[in-house]
Amino acid sequence: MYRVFAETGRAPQVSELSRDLGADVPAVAAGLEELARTRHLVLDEAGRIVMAHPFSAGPLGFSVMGTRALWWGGCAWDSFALPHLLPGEGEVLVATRCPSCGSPHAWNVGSRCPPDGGQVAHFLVPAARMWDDVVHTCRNQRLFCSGTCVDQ
Amino acid sequence: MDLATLWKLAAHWYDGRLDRGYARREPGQAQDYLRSVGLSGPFWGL
Repeated sequence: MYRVFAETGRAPQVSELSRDLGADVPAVAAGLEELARTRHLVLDEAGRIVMAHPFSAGPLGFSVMGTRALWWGGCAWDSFALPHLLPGEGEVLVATRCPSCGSPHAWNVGSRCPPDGGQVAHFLVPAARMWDDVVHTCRNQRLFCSGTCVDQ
Repeated sequence: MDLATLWKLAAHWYDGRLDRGYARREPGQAQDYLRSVGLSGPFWGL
């Protein structure tokens, strides 16, 4: 699953996992349900993968552009994690908008040192509650222009 | 948090995620990691 996300930027389908694992679809679906129950990934009502951190199947505020693929960043934390995780990518381009004023922001993010910038990350949900609704949590782990934008 | 702290938080959080046999951190290990990148306080459970 993570290999497909890493190589393509998209979530694998159950049928795809079934073929790759040599297991029938019900077994794969049950396996995904167990992974979701133990908080390794998030499924939608139809059993499709929504998130497998740090990867997301859909937009949550960030895009991450590499040399071979384009990923949805799960949140600010996950987006900044991708260059450390993806083999051979070097730097990736992380892009987002300030949730407060809409200003666009982008950084070249690599594994050697932090990018420059005065922007601030704001996390809405405390750590102990992050998995209560982890999609809501991730949707609200964002990068703002400044503390002033956070406060507005 | 500033970009440098965010980058440090993200740098090794998912180490090994793409490897077979990946095991998630225990809560105590997670707290140690968060402290190591400079985080503190009740928001982070520290």
